[in-house]
Amino acid sequence: MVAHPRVLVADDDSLFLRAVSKALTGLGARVVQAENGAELIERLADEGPFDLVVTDVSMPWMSGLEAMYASRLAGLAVPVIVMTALAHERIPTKVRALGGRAVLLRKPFDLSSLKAAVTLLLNSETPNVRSRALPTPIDAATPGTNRDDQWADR
Amino acid sequence: VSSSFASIVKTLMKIVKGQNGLAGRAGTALTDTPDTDRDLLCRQIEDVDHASTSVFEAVASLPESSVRAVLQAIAVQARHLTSAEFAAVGIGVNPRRPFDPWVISGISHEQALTIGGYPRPVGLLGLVAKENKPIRLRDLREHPDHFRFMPDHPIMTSFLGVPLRYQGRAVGNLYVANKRGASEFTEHDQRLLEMLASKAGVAIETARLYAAEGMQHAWLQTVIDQMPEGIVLMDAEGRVTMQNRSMLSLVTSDRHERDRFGNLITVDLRQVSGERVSPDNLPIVRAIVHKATTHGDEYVVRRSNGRLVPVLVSAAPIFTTNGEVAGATMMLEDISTFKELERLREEWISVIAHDLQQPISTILLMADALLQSGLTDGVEDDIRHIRSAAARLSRMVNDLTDVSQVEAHRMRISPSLVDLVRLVQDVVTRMPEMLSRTSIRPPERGHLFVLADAERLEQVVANLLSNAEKYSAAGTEIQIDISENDREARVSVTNYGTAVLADELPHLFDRYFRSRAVKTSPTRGLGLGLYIAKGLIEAHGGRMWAESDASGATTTFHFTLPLEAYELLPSTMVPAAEETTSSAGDEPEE
Repeated sequence: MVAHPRVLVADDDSLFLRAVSKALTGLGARVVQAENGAELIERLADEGPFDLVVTDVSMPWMSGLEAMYASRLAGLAVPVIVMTALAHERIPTKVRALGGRAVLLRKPFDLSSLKAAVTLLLNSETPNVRSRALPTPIDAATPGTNRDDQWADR
Repeated sequence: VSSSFASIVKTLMKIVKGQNGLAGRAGTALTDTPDTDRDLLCRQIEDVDHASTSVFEAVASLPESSVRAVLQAIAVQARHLTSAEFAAVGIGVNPRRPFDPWVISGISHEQALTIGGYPRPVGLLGLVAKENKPIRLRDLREHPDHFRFMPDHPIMTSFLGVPLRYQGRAVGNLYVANKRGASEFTEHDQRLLEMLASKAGVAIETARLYAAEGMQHAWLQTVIDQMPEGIVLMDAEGRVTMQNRSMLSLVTSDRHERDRFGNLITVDLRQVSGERVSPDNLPIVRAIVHKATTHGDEYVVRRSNGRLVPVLVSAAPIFTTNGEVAGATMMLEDISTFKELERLREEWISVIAHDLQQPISTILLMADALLQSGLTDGVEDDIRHIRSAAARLSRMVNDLTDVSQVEAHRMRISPSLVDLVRLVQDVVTRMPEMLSRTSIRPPERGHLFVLADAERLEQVVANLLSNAEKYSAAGTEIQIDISENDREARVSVTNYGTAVLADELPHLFDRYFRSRAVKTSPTRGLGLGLYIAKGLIEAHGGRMWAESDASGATTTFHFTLPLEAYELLPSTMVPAAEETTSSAGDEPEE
C-alpha cells in the first residue's frame, strides 16, 4: 500500500464530506474534496492522478456513478469506493459495472469498514479485486442488521 | 304495460267464450235460487270461473305483469260480471293513507287525472273495508257515510262494494257502480263479486309477493351494478348467474379457457407473484367445491392490454337454510389507487431513510475518528454510547424501509445457494453473549442447502435469536433445530423461560406488537422485527409461526424455506406488480 495515498472524496453533504475526509486522513491519506459530480470529474482531470476515489452516488450535476462511468470510458482505472444510503436494488449491479476495482459501501458505515475497503483496494495489485472478508458490523452485538454493508465483488 | 293489456284482452276473450268449471259446483250450492234465474246464474258463475282463471293467468305471467295489471284484470272482470258502468279495486285499509294501488275501469285515464289523487279508505269506500262485509246500495249519494263527489267525478248512483280478503283479513276492496239496464245491483251480482273477490285476494297477494321480490331483485341488481367492486354470482351448479359492470371492466378477451363448470374464464386472475391462478383454484370455484371462504386476499388481474390491476379478492359460498351450498359470490376490489399511494409512501420512506442515514453516517465516522484520537476512559465511554445510539437509529431506519417493502409486497431478495447450517452458526458466532448458551442441532448430514438471500436470512436468524434472548430466563439454553422434509427446510428457535401467552401468539407478527411476557429491554426497537422477519421469509416462499407451551414454559419460533424452489425462485421473486407502477427509473435519484 502506498504510504500516503492521494484520495479524491466526493459528497454533497458537507458535514459527511468532512467526516469521511477526516477518517481517511486518519488512515494516512492525502485528501482532495469535491462537492458534486461535476467537481469530481474536474478534479480527476486536473488534479490527478489519484490512488483512490471515494464518492457518494446521488449528487448535484452528475451522480458519482455517472462520473465514474465517464472516467472509466476515458480510460481511468482508478479504484473507487461508492458510498450510498440509497436502498435501490440496482446499485450493486451498477457498481459492479465499474469493473473489479470498485467497492460498494452502504451508509452508514463505520471507520473499520472504510479502512477495510481502502486496504482492500489499495493493497491489490491485480485489476480484479475480490472481497475476502465480511465487513465489520457497525454494532457487533447485532449481526445481520447491517446487511447493507456489502461488497460488490465482481 | 303492453303485456298487461294483452293479458287483459286475452282474459276478456276467454270470458266471452265461456266454458265449464266452477259452474257445476257453484250451481249446486245455489239450489235455493229460483229456477227462472238458474240458467242465467249458471252462465254468470261460469263467467266468474273464467274471470278468476284469467286473473290467475295474469299472475302466472308475472313478473312481466305487475300487481296493477292483475288489479286491472280484476276490475275489468268485475265490471263485466255485474254489468257495471264503473269498477275499481283499491288495496289498503288504513284510512289515513290512500289506496295504493288504486285501479279503475270505466273512467278514462285523462278523466281520472282531472279527478285527482287516489282516494283513501274513508267514507263509504272505507266502510266496506272497516265492516269487512259487502255493501249494496240503490243510490250511494243517500248513504250517510258518502262524501260529496269531487268536481269532475262522474255521477254514480247504484253501488256494490265487497272486501278483498286474503287468509281472512281484508287487504282492499272491490267496488262497482251504476248497474247498466237496472236501478241497482242484485244479490246475484253481490255473490258473483264475492266469489271473484275471494279468488282475487290470493291472486293479489301472489302478485304483490312477486312484485316485492321483483323490486328487490331490481334493487339488488342496481345496487350491485353501481358497486365499484367487481361481483360475480354463481348458482349451486357453478353457472355464472350475474356479473356486474365493474366485473366486466376487468374482463380479458384473449382467454378461451373454461372452469370445471363450463364457464368461460373471462378474468385473468394471478397471484401477486405473477403466477396464474389455475381454474380450479379460482376463489369462487373453491367456494362452491370446497366451501372455502376467501377474505380480501391480494391478487392481480391481467387486462387485455397487459396492464396488471392489483385487486383484493373475497369469495364465499352462499348456503341455504339447511346448510347446502346454493351458490357462491366473488368480489374483486380494484386497489390500484391504494397501491399507487402505497408506492408513493414507499418512495417517500426511502427518501426519508436516505436523508436520515446521511447524518447518522457522519455521527458514526466522527465518533470513530474521535475514538482514535486518544481520549480519557470516561470520554471514550460516552463516545461509544453516542456511537451505539447512532447505530441503533440506523437499524430503526432500516426497519422502517423494510416494513414499507414488506407491506407493499416489494421486498427484493437476491437468492443464492446458502448452507442454512453454516449461516446459523455464523450468526450465533457473531453474537458473543448468545454463543455460550445457544445449541444448534443440525440435520444428520450436517448441512442443508437452500436458495435464499443470505443477508436477509441472517437478519431473520439474528432477529429470532435476539427475540429468544428477550423471552428466556437468564442463563437458560436457547436451542436451534435445523431440519428438513422432502418439501421444505425448517429452522426452529426455542427458548425457556416465560412462555408467550396463547392469546398473544397470533399477534406476535403484527407491527409494533409488544408481548406482555417480554422483559423490559433498554434497547427497545420499534416492534417491527418479527413482522419484517415474517415478511422476509414469505418473500422467500416460506412460512413463519410461533408456538408456546405454558407448562414447559417454552416458546418456539419456526420458519420454513421451500426446497423444491431451486428453479422457481429467481422468476417468482420478481414482483409482477412492477408493471402496474411506473418504474423508479434506471438512475437512482435523491
